[in-house]
Amino acid sequence: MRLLGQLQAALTHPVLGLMLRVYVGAVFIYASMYKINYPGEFAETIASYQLVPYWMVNLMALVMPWTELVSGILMVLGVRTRAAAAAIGAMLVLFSLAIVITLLRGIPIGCGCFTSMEDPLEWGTLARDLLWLAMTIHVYRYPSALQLESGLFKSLREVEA
Amino acid sequence: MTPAELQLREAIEQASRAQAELERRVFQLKSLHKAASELSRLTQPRRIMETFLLTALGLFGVMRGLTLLVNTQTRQGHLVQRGLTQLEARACEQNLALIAEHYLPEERLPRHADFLLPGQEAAPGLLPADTALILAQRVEGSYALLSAIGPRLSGEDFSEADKTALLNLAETMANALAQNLYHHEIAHFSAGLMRQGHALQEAQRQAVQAREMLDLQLFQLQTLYDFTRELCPLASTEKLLEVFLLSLMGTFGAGCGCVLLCDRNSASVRWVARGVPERRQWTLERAEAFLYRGFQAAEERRLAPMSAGFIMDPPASLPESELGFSADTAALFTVDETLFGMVALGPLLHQAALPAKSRELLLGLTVNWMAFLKNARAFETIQALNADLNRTNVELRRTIAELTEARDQIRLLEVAKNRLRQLIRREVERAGRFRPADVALLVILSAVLALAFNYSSPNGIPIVPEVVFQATPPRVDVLMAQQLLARSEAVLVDARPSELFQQKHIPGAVNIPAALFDVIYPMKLGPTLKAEQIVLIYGRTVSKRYDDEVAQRLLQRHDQVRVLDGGLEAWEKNGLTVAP
Repeated sequence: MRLLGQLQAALTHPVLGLMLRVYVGAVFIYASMYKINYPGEFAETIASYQLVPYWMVNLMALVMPWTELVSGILMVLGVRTRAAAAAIGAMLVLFSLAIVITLLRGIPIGCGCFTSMEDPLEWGTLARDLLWLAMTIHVYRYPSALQLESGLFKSLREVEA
Repeated sequence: MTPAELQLREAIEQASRAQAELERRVFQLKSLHKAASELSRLTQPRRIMETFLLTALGLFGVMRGLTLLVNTQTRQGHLVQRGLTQLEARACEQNLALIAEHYLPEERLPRHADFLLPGQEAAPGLLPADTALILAQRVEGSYALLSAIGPRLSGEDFSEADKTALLNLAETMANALAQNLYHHEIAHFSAGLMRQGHALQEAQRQAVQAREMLDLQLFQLQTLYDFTRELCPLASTEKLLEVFLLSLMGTFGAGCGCVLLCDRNSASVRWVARGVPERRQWTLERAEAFLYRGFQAAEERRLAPMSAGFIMDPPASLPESELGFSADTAALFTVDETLFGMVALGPLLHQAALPAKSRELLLGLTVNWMAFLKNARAFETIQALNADLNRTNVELRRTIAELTEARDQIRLLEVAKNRLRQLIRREVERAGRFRPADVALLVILSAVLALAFNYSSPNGIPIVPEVVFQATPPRVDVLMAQQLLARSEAVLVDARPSELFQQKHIPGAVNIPAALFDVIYPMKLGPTLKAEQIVLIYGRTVSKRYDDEVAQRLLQRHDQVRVLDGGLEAWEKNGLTVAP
């Protein structure tokens, strides 16, 4: 029991929260970079999944990388962390579903997660996404250290007092 | 003696007796006549009474007698006597009142002379004891006469004729006395009139004097009234001083004059002068020293508040060098212990010196003026206080305005603070909470950034695929396609990416992925394609219309381009073979 308590304390420690936050945020920032620069290629990748109607593909290819970037930045900084975590989590769920469907349909395509030149999708890709999803849920649920927003409001609370 | 002789003798005796009687009567009548004429000439009552007494005594041969003239009301009178002893005379004079009371009672006084004695007992001791006749009579008014006649030397009694003669004589005396009394009365009246005349003249003189006095007082009152009326509307000390001096100079006819007023409260000296050539500057010390000299020479050294007094010999005590003129009249005045001064007038134009009345008037005017001065001073004090109050009020009002402004500002700041506090509280509460709106905001922000970036990026792509807006290339159904392929009139092109092509495709199709069209077309199709050949394109997914894209591109280089309607799915549905 004591061990369990210690484990829980360690797992919910704010520093761990900070580390996970920065990691997941950084991954998303990094992932968004190539896609933002080459939206045409990303549009091809989305199309290759054959899940999105053709008229929506370009729009998605434009907006999704920016969403990843903004969410990643907010997450790293600790501003509206939960909203950012929710957005990233939703995207991860979306990606995971897309991967599962594609794997089940047996369409031989690359992941397109970071760049367009990647190995074909496999179950490991799904596992990786799920791991990130777990990290994101942790960030959403537990407090993390060095959040810019909470620091700002702490000082504002002092002003108010 | 014979009887005849006897008779004759008797008759002769009788005749001689009758003759003697007649002679005596004649004598008596003559005496009476003489006395009457004498009495009528006399003017003094005493003389009349003496004449009567002497005549009566002589007429009847009597040695003693008296006559008394008495005022029955005052019981006073004159006594005239002959032949009485000194003792008797004194007793009569002393008992005059008693005699009058006894013999001459007012109510029983006979109008004409009447005998009291004989016939009535003489009062013992009042008149001489041997009195033979007492005669009483009213004279005039309240005067009455009492005459007492002693016995005859001859010892005879008074005959009726004697008595009648005596009565006549008494009547004559009474008439003379009455006449005399009338004269006296007239003289008295005339003297009285004279006295009254004198008194009247005196009264007239006094009336004239009184009138003059009244005129003077009227003049003084008029002056005072005018003076007061002139001073009434004035409220400033300066004006009061000027009007006071001018009024005094006008009233008393002085060619020049001055008023000096020391105010210890404000440590100031006021100096007003008229008819004096130079303008003097006074300090309080100098003025007080000057006034002190004046008080030394004053009629009263100490003056009560609100009073004034003259300076004796002004030219000596008030030097011309100080005043600027020779003062003939000067008075000091004291309003209270802190306000006092002096008024001085130069030589008078019409008279040498002020009369006493005018001096009184001057003091009166000065005292009156002082009342105004005091009022003016009080008024000035009130004005000063009012001004002070107004100033304080203005300051107070300003302070209140400032306070109000400050309060408004504080209220504004309070409101701002509350708003800020609410905002902060809301934000603090929001910070740790998940809100769908935040996510929506995040997405919208991302979309905006994406569209903006895409617009300016060289790698930008259209938001909606271009094929949506382009005209769809002509279609052929599977059967038609099959015939065309069978007659070798058409070339089949698979527009999908190579991975999908390798997964499944129509036998004989050339794979030209849309993304690589520009590279692969010249390599695989361009050189062998004949102009009359139809290029039949297929390959689309739900996410991408590869066939339409390639068809559009191909149409720019070749005329005969068709798209297989329904694509690979339609081909398979028609039971046609696919590879591999």
